[in-house]
Amino acid sequence: MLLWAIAVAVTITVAALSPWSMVVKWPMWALLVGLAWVAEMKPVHFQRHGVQLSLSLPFVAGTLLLGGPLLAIFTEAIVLLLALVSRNSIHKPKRTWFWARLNLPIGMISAAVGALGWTAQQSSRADLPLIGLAAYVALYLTVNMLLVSRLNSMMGARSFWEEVRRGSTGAGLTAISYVTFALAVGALMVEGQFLAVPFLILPLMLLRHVVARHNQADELSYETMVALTIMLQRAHPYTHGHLERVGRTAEEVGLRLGIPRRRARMLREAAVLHDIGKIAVDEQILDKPSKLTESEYEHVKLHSEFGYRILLDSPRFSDLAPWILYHHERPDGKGYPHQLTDIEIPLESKIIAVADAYDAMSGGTESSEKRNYRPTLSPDSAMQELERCCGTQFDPRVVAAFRHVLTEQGVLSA
Amino acid sequence: MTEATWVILGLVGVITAFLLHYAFVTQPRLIAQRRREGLRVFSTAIELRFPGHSGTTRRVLGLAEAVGAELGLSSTQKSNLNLACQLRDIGLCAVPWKLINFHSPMHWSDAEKATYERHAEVGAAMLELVPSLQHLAAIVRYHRANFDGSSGPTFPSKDDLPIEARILGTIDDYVSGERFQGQLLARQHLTDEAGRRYDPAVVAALLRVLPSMSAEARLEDLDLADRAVSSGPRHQAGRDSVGPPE
Repeated sequence: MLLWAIAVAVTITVAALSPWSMVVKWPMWALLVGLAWVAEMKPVHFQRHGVQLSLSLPFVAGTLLLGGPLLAIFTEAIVLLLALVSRNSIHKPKRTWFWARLNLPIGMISAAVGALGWTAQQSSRADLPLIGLAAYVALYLTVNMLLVSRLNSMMGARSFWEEVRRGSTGAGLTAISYVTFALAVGALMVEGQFLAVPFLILPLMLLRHVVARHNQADELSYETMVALTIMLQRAHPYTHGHLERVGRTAEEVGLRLGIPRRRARMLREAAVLHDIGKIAVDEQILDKPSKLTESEYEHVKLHSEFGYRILLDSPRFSDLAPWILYHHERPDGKGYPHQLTDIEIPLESKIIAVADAYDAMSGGTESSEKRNYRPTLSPDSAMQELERCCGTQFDPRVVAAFRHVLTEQGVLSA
Repeated sequence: MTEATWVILGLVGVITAFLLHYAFVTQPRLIAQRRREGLRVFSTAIELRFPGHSGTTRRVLGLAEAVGAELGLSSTQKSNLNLACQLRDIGLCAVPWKLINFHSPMHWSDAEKATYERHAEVGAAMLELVPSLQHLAAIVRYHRANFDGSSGPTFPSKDDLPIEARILGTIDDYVSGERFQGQLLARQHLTDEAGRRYDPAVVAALLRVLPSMSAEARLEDLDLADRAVSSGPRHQAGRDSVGPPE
């Protein structure tokens, strides 16, 4: 709702500042709206972020030349609505509404701020419309990126500045292309070559293709991780919830202990993948309800080394392989595989060990997630158990941070 | 038209040229490389689970590349084949550990055989869950299918049996045959089953490339053997008779 309020406020400001020009060549306008609609029909989805890259900008910018700032804002809204309605099928009205609620005001605010830039330029040199056009596009892109980063940081775990940094990597080329394409639209319109404007959709589609593929390459390593966990679940039925929860708590504990964000995210991946070596372990022994014999236990112990060797093969994951190798080491030197002592064990491994042990003890919240051979403990008694093993099995600093995180989440009765 | 317009249109042209180059030359190479590196993880996992399988992926990859070139596959098909070679057995993670590590395939009951054969379907189902690997699902699903459809996984029609799956199935069987029965018997098996279990065209291509590929493999083996000789005493009587007397 705040977004809507801002959108309306900025639009009114623009309306007050800019002159009203009502002589609009409506056929030309319809052509631009059509092109913008076509460009917007197939947006690039940034899969895990829910952000979409809009490609209609150069054409919407063109309407500035036809009817001034207000027409541009109006066109932006129309195009977004058209695209949203036609893209999401009628079967998903809820989804359409969700996107409309977010995207529409964001688009309008960006367009309105851009229009302010245009108005400012026009008031000094009205004979150079192309510069105003460039100002519009640049401002639109900046505002849009900032708003989307803000929204993402509200919905996700990353901070605002981090989102900004992510959003602006590789944005240079995209921005230059956008500005150039918008200038081309403007120049062709000034020259009166309206029929040449539609051809600009071709380079735009190419840009879309490149950005989408680039994005896809980034997704690959994430998908490798997903596929590995699927494999682990086929070999040995884990609940997806367990791995997810361990990943999430490990990241938070890591942040609390002062690990930089980038590394904390790697820690999350490591925590999700920490038992990946169990793919190579006999699942009958893992699921055995009774106590393991000596040789069976030796066999199970291999899993941390297996996990290390699997991940070492991937350049993306090789950095976190050592953390997984040592996630069963203990500060008192009685862990495996290498009987490291306290100071030799990576902090990340200690965090994974605590998060894993806690989740195994407290179990899932649903009855199907509980491990059948061990009674589950309440969060409080699981925490007490962790604190009992402090110093021998777990690092006291990590356990203390873990307690803080759980208290913050409201899991523990403080 | 004014000069400014020409400059802008020129810029559009330059950007378009750059994008074209990036989209069709740089980017595919980058993505293919990343994907290959990432996928090694899966074959390593399976080879660790079933140590008896270790080392086969390299041989299968080499033969698949040669056969693919021999049959004149398109570059997309070649890269799909390459990826499928690494992913062909990921379904094995759902096959009981004991079945493969403790029981010889010779003594499997029919039920156990069926359990083993299901790994192709399981692997394909797993790949379908991963968007960027979905297109490999069909190859993995049918790589154990018989060419004439007489047994094994059934497929709707010959057109649905991808050429990559036929190549992969043939090479996969050949490599394990070569391992357990030796080259001669494995070759014999290929020619016997061509047209029934295997696609005759693929068998012919494989038989054409085998001499050179085997020579390379043998040279690598010899190379390894030489290194073993220079670093320690010999154990095999057969090799001793070839080498100089000690």
